[in-house]
Amino acid sequence: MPESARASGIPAALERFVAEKEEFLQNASVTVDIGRRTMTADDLLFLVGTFMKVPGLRVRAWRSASTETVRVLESAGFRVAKGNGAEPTDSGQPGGEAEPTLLVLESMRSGRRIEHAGDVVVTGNVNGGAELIAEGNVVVWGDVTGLVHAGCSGRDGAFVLAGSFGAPQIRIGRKISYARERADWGTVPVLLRIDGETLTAREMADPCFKKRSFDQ
Amino acid sequence: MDTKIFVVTSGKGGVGKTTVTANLSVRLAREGKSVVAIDGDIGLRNLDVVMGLENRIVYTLVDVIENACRLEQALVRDKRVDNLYLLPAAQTRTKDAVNAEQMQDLCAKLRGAFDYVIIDSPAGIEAGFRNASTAADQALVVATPEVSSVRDADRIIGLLEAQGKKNTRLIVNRIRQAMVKSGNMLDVSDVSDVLAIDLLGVIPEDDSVVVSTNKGEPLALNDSAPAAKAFANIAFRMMGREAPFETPGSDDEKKLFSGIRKMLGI
Repeated sequence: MPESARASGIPAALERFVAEKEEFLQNASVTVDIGRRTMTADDLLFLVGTFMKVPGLRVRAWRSASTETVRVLESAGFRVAKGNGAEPTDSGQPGGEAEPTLLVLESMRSGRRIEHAGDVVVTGNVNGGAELIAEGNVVVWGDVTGLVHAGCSGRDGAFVLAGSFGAPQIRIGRKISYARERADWGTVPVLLRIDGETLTAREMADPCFKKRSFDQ
Repeated sequence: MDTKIFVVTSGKGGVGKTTVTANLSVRLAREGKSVVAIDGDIGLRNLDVVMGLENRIVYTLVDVIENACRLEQALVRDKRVDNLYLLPAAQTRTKDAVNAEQMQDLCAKLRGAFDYVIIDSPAGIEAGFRNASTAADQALVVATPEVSSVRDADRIIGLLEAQGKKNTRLIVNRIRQAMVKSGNMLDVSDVSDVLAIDLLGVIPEDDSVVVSTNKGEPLALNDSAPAAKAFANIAFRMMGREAPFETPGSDDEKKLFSGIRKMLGI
């Protein structure tokens, strides 16, 4: 909702949004970004009450650029995401104080799921059936054949750098892309990021950086 | 006696766990080792059929656990090979009839009395797998050269690692060299690269496996079939002996040599 919207209209608009998108929000994991709005304790109670009506919805973190709102959230014991004073950037660098990078010193086998609020480095593979969800960037030294989502809280500037890439799907920021055919990049390191509105992959071993677009 | 307890597992069904269990048990027994093959697939027992011992079952693993009989009474002795026994599963019960602790107690009773205990794990990652795997010292993961099988094997290896299992080893089953050469099947190295565990053996696709399974005569009872040689090599490596990693010849090569042998009357 635009920050210019009148405060009095927000509760009704939010209730309408949740009712319309309930199926999408069920069992979802979301970060609530209040933006620059100043939120009172009553507003917070209203938001929590609204979200609790959606089955399975999990609020992963709250974000706010308002010092007053952050104070209200923290006094109520809510987790406020680091870097909350900055807008999401497209530079690939998270704003404000960053979460420590998570280092995974092994391969992620099928069935394993890792969620992290910052960058993630995996020194092994992300095998098919494994899921790596990061709010920051993802670097995988080995092969990626499983699901990787970089910038999962909506940061389109995030990137994935893989030793080789053969996954049928990749997610960066708000974009989900899939390979038209089974991806076959051999053993060439690949950099995946959003370029304009298109998710692109660049073969890093080629000095000309071959570029290929994915289906959106 | 230093008993080694193995679980044969895979995650995915239909990859040949039961066939591998039966044939490795037979081959180890032929090498003079005392062996118990345990059917861990309670409710869907098959190992007795593959080993040809179905008609001699009186008591089952569940009867032992429920103290309806003594362990010795439930062990079915294979008359074709010395020192080979089967502990059959119950067909009329479900996997809930046994828990991991009871399986551990059962294996503890076998420890010291036999050289090898080989547990045939059910497919899946639920209670049946946990019961079979927690009781074992080491795991043998069977995978076929298919993407789905490799992914399930990867999942199982992760679960075994979480249980603290060490020395988990890989058996690649049903490899067809002609298809590998034509690029239509994953190669052994493709499978082992993804799963990143030690390779124990490779078993070629062999029509005689189907025949032997239906007859209840494990291939490992003799040495003629290509798969029987592969089982022998795997058994030798389980015993700590050196054995060649046989690269199965292509189906075309086999047909060619088979034709030549027929022409020569050998």
